[in-house]
Amino acid sequence: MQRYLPDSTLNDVELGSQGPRAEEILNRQQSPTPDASLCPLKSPTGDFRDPIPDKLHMSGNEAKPGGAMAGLRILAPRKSESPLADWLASCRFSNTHPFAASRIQLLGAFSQRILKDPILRDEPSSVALAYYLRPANITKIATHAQARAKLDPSVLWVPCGGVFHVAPANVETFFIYPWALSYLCGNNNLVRLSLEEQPVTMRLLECLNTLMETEEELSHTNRFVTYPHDPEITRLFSDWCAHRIIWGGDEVIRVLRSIPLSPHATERVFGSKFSYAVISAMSFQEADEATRQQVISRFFNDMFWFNQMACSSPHVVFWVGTKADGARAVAAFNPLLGAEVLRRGYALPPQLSVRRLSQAFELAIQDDVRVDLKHPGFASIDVPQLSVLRKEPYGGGLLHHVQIDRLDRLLEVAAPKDQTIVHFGFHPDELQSLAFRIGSRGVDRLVPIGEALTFEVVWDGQDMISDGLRKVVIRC
Amino acid sequence: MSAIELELPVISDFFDLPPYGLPQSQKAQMLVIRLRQLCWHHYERCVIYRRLIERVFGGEDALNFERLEEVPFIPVPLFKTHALRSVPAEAVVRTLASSGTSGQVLSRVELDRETSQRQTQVLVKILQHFLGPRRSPMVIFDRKVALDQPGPYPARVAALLGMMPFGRDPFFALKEDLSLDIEGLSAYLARASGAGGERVVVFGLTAILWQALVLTMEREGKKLHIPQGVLIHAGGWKKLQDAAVGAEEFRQRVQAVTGISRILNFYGMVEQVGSIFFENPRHYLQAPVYAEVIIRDPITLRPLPVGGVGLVQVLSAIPTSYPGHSLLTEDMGVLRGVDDPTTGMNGRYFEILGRVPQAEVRGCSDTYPTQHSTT
Repeated sequence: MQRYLPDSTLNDVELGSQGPRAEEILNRQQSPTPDASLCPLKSPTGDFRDPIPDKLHMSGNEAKPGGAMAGLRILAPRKSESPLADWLASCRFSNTHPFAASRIQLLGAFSQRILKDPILRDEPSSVALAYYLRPANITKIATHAQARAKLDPSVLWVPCGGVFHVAPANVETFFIYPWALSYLCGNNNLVRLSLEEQPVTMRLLECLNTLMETEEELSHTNRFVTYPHDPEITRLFSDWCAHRIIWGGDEVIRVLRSIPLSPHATERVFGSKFSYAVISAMSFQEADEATRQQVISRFFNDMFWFNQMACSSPHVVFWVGTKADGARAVAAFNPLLGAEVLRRGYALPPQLSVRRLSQAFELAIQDDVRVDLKHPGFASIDVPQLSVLRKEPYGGGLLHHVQIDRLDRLLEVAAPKDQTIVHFGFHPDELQSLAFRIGSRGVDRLVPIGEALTFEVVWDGQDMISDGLRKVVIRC
Repeated sequence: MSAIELELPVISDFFDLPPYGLPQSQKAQMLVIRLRQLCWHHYERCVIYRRLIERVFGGEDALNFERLEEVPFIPVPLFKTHALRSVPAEAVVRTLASSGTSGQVLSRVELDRETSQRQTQVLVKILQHFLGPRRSPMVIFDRKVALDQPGPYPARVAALLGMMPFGRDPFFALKEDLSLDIEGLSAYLARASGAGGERVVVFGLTAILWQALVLTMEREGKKLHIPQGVLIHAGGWKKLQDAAVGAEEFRQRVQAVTGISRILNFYGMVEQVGSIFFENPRHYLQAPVYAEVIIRDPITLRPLPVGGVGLVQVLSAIPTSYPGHSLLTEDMGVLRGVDDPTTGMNGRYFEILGRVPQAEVRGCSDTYPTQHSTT
């Protein structure tokens, strides 16, 4: 288990005050700070380091021994020719062409490396990532964006410059997606990863590192780092960047937002989200066996990848139809999903089973729901009416079923934290109308069942390509 | 199940049965009747239990089970968040709390006089099986003040209190600062064995015995001489596992510093009084007639046969003051066999493999943990 440093200095940060200069922070001598004495992870030698696995202690990449940045490690590139402070100074701006063919190629090479990696090629979310990064897909994204750029010839798109990413830790492959889009836009990137040791993340960094050995441009323009929660470092990076992207829970975002950006920078934050499914009870009932099986198989992916703990993992199925249809559909759906769990050999960690059971029992104590424990891998919670539903992302295999008579009953529960709706059995007009009526209240994506975890350029309602570019108006 | 069966007294001499005498098939027949009684008893008296039966297990039908595997269970963590009681508050004579590291929420269970007495009765039966009827001098690896604190009793104290009646003239081997009182202990042992080599019973929690007895004596280079002793220990192995010390090594090193060759581990939890699973001669944990163990697949929750690793469910014939007669624990275990003629002990025996790791709550919120988070 890893512990993070208490955030004892956060309160000292004054908004808007002139922060210390980069070199001062990067080179300041470490004093016996309260942080150090409280650090529960002091090594036996008393050395004050954050718990990075040995393989990440790469030579030449550590800040000066004893410096206050001793906690910061550069994870990629493996060998950086200049201190981070120099890199920050030299990579603040960029005049690389957005969507440069060389960058598309590099992402393609990265994709290849992932598929050749003996561990990653057997790991579904890494394969999905590699598939996303393949040249055909990135070119499609680029072409689409360029077509939009041409719509107004008086606006020139240029990179926004230095982008500071605070990556999410819950989905191991995820830090690559926003980085790749920003890189595609021509930006220089500083990516802060969680201190947590995660095998897939390590392998992905390994692939990047190998690539960086021969690809100087990639190595010059990107830094993947990790450091304990030190507001001084975050402040320094925030002052450096032209655009800051924070992935995190709401709490994290509240904390990090108090650290000021350069007055010229922009920011995009991705807070805690809640996702669910809507299925037409009648359509599901009337579907032939093959279609049903396909729905189940896709729903399995949506729900169980990342143990139902990604922002897009569905936690509820809303069955649209009569009470009787809803009940029949649930009665058919649950055993099929259970069979799929067994067929896929899904083995969720036992601690999640324990947690899921406790939560299911807690819900049964609190609310008039019906819990069904008969199915492998998940607990089904039948919620008798919409008003009883708790929209909490419990995760780990807790699936709520609610019957609603019309699709637009969702208006009653839609909220800003709603992200993805996976759907089956509705006419496009119905979905359009639903999204329109929900309006600004919430819901960022309505996608077919099976696509919950498919990353796309427009995420949480925002266009990440557009975010990574600055629009220069030129009239002659 | 009718009200008539409910009115029946406890199967006449159920709690007088020898703990390991009945073959599994006979035991199961008797225990299942008792557990049906208990289920109905709690269903009619504990609102929360009733809700769970109705909302999780499909209602009263679930109480008319025929097999032990069909007894509805509740997860142990529920005792941390709810006061589960099937008797009026006035009837409670003793409250037990789980031991936990500071800051953890503790489990609490409330015992009435009947439940408490039955627990003692069962413990007597089990301990007499191992120690015989005679009470021996007892060394307790704890501080005397452990008994003085106001209730609720932590699990550690509850275990002491349960054990103390089986010894006489108890000696508390730890000083105020939790260090070993070697002089006092040596003098006590000399007195006890002086009167004609009497057997001494030593009791303590596994982790405390390891720290205060084994490591201390090894460090000091001293040895005790308790040749006829019996050492009984219980409680978590985590600290020992962290130090990569297995059960076999624990026994050897205890014997090396004390001369004790008879070392008995037992498994139990504060949430379920009466479920005391003592080690059999093959060092597996043996279910007595008043309790049972079922291992369930963590994914499907189906009961597993001998050899299958899964979540441990424990059943007990004892508790009437709170619905703790069928619990799904957070421990992983494996069933090793039934009615073993080589040990002469009947019933199921099993092994505990340890607690499942603390469930990580990894939503999207762990990018930059704040002060309270650990990941």
